Amino acid sequence: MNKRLLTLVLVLAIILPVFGGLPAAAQDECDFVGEAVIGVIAPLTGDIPKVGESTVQAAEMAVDEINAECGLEIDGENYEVIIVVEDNESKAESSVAAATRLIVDEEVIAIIGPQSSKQAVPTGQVANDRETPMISPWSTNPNTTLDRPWVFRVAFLDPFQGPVDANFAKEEFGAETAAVLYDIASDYPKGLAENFRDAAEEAGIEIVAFESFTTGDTDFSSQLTNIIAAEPDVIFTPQYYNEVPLIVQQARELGYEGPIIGSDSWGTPDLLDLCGDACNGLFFSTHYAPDIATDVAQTFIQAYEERYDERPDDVAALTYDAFQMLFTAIENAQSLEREDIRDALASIELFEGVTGIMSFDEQGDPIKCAVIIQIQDGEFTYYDSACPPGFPPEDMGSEESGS
Amino acid sequence: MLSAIRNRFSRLVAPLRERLQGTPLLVYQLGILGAVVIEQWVGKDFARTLAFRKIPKLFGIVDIFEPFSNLDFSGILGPFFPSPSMTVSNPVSQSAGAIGDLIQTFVNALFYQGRRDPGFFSVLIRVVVYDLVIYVLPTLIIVLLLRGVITRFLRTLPRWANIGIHLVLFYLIIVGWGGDGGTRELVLIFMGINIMLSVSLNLVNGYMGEFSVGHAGFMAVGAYVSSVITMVLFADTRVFGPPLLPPEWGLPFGFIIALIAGGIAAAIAGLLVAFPSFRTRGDYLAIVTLAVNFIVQGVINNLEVVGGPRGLNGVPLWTNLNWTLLFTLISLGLIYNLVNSTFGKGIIAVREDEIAAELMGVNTRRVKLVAFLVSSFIAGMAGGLFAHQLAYVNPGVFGILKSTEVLVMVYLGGMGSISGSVIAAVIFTILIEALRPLAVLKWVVVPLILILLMIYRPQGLFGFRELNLNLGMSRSASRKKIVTSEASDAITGD
Amino acid sequence: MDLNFLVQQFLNALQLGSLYALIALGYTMVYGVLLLINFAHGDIFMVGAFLGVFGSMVLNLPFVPTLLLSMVLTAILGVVIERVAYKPLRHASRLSAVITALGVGLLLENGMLALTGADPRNYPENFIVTETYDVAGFSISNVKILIIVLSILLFLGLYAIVQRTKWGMAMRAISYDKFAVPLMGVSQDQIISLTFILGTGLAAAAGILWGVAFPVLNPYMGLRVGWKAFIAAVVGGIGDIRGAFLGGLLLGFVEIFVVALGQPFGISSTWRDPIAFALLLIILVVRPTGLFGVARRQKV
Repeated sequence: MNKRLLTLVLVLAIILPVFGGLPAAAQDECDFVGEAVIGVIAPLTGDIPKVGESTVQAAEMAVDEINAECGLEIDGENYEVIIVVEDNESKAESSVAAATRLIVDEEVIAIIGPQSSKQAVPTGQVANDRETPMISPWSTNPNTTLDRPWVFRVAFLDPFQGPVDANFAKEEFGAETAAVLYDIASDYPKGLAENFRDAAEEAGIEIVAFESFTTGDTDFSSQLTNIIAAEPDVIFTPQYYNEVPLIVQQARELGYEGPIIGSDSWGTPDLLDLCGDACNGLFFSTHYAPDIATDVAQTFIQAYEERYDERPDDVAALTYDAFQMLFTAIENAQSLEREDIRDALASIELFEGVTGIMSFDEQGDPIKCAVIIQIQDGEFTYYDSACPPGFPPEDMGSEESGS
Repeated sequence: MLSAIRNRFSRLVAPLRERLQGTPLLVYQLGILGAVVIEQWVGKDFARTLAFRKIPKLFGIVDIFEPFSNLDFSGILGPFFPSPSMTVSNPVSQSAGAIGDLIQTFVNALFYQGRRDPGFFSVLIRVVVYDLVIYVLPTLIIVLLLRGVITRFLRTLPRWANIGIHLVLFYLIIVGWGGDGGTRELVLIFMGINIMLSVSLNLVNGYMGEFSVGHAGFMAVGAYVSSVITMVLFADTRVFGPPLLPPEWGLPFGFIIALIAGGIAAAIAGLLVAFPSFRTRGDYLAIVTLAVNFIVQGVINNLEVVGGPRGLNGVPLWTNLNWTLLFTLISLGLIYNLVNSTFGKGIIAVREDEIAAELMGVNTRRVKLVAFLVSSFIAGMAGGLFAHQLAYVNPGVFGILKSTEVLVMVYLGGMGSISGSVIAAVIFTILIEALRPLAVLKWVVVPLILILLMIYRPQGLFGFRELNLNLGMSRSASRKKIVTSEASDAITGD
Repeated sequence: MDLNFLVQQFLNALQLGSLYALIALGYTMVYGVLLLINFAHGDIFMVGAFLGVFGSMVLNLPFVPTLLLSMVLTAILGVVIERVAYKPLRHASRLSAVITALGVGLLLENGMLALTGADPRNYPENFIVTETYDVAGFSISNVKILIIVLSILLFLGLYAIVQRTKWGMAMRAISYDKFAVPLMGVSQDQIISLTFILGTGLAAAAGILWGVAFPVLNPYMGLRVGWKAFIAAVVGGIGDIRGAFLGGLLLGFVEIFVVALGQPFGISSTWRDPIAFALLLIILVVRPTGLFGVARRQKV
């Protein structure tokens, strides 16, 4: 018996180093004294996997960049940044569970994500209740951050985007009437559809049809037939890249020939492949256009293209911005405590990111410009910009004011 | 080769097994409690010594799978089913390349994949060492030391004291091990909820022999009703505005009332299934339960007051380990007493032969009604706990997938076996947690287990049998514990 | 509400309904012969659609060969599933088989996701070039015509096989009495395989047509559609192929007209599911065996 035990110990002693053994101590030139663990929640599977892919790519790039510069420096000591990625399957419930796990289990100092408002609105509640800073890069629904001191964002809000789209419909197409087709089961389309409706009515456009469907529907023929029977000048549909092709193709098939306008959820390059010719010439509003990028943006775009061999979409750009904002806040706070990071995030007033200059209002929501993109021959092409009145402040921005 | 190892191993442990024969449960409990104390005391330092970042949460089961989280299988068949953004010239070679990469990653995952990510074997060995030193050895030592004393001591105890002392120790172990407010607590809470769900479904599917496939529907009703009650009465939320009652009343009374109300509401929804069950059986009743699941989901989807498909936000975060334990034990007690009562014999009689049961004077309608009501009542309470743990509910959670999960637990544990359901729920919860690093693959492994189970062991782990716990009672005190369904072991199915 | 609008919606309903009907046929055939609710059927439909991607994108085949290829491969898959997963359970409790079917469904969809990735797929642009015709004020596309006509042809073909051939007679006989038929020298295994071949083949055809009509495919596409088709089969009287076809069409009409006529009353498409399932419940209560089902007497 004793002999056996001895053998076992000996065997272990041999095996341990052979099979990789213990993780070696830090051997880089940076002398990391600890780690800063950041949670990332992204839709890696589910309806919009490309959004998840962009999120993770941008996150990994941001983290590798900062670690190459010896991570976060706090009181003269370097902390290595680590990300823990959780898949939310593009579902709200999974997102909430993922946030709980990141906060409770991984003890992250902050969460970047989730992207869609459908997940960001409920997840923000959990982050807020569990007092962990969260930055949603892509969510534009006001409810994500409303009355939630722990939740931040980098994207503009739908009460801004709705009017941008409505004004564009008015000015570009001289629209008198408009129809909306949106997913009632998802916060983002629902919120934006309502914002668009209100803004359109204010701009003197009559909403002749306001049709909804449910996440997962693929047959929109009934709604579109209703819409076409109402004879609108434009159709507005704030949907994701897996639904837009179906909507556009079915609308054409049912005989609609007018313009279809979209929102920032269209901006995933996979849309171009899925939709093909049917989407050619259509417009949508979004956060940034790679072809008119500023210096900050150019650096990012080049690095991203070099690393991943594809153009960064708006999700990647916003996620990257979210990380930069978080890093700035941590270095300002000189602390890795959740509360200090929150305070530092809240006190950022002006921030220049890849997606432009943004200032923050009292809710912590950014004020920034939007751009209008046209789909031309399988490319997203810059068409126009639209900025909030009096923005950018002084002469900081290079973009002209659109509306 | 394998059997040789097994033989060797069993020869190694044979003397130990012999010595432990007939050891009462309490001794093990004390041993485990000792291990828990030791972990509290030196666990963290020991884990650090073994180069873990933190204490291995679930005996290291999750850590073992972590090295495989980088495995990406999508390249295997991906080139044969390309997405439009993918360029495919030669799918076979592309797929072969992907398989090559996969093997490479797998081998790396086995051994060593970078400074931060140790390989599987490294983790495995360290986990085994940790578990041996922290859990197994202390437990064994304490068991061997206390065995004689405790066995004698137990014989002197009356039944109630015996059960009481087991429960107290059980509670101490659970709280000592899992009351960390972290992963362990989370997993234990899910475990409790899953136990409630699987045991309650077993009442209908196992004991009564009906085929209900829509259990998540009742869970949804309970979750929503209890959430709405706590939110309206005790929480300041965006949906319902300021609370109607002082929030400090919420715990404990408000929560208890809300959970029970959720259970009652779910029981009322259970009538939707109970009434058709008087007329239809078998497949068609299964379809009815399925339809009820979908209808519940659909109705909530259309209730704008509770957020419709977008869900209900800001449910108070009230569920904790104690609440879960309390309600799990209450549910277990309820079901246990029900199936072991005379009325419970009626339930089993309905399963064996409804017409004969009717002839023997069993009021089959009443039996079915009660079984469905109790079953959905418990599912509703489980739903309430679930909602107050996640702080968010939406109808999507309570779909057919959730129902399938519960079915898996019931069939894994075995029909008509409470202990089977409990153990299956425990295994299933840990399995889901352990496979989490594998992402999508988790949902390949789970159905695979289900299919294999159905083909090779359709009766489950404990079909129509109960686990006998050695409570160490004197003969006369334990006499009453004879499991009712032992006799029905032979008569299975329809 | 003018006539054009109604005709247009009628065509929409016909398209959706015939797709449901094609899938429902597979459900009903398997049930008729095996008394098994094959919950994996929706996911077999998904595999059919994905095999269409294989045929069209990888092998660059045109529509008809792709359709045939997918039908054949999916039929093989169906038979394999039956042999591996269902056959060992033929004499076990029927509920074990149903649970296994649920498991097979989960396995197919998640396996597809794990092995092929999550990106949505479609068919190449030249697979079916959509053309829209403006006929008397309403629009009809070649895709719609193709789907409706092909579905009806496939149904008629199936009906002829079941009613007119020896094989079909054997199938009907087995569903009538599965113990007596093997005594007559008919191989039960062969008939069951044939049933799976026909049922899954139709599901594959439905998958490809679905992909042509709604060209964004993902591994979970069969989940909801499968349940819907299952309702259609039950409503029509599970076990009866005419019933399944009519049930499918009926469901298509319900879904389209809930939206078409419901909007003025605030009924949005979110009501589609509850209404469809409520319909199912009502039919089960009023006519427990569906529109065409024949009551089976339970022997005491």
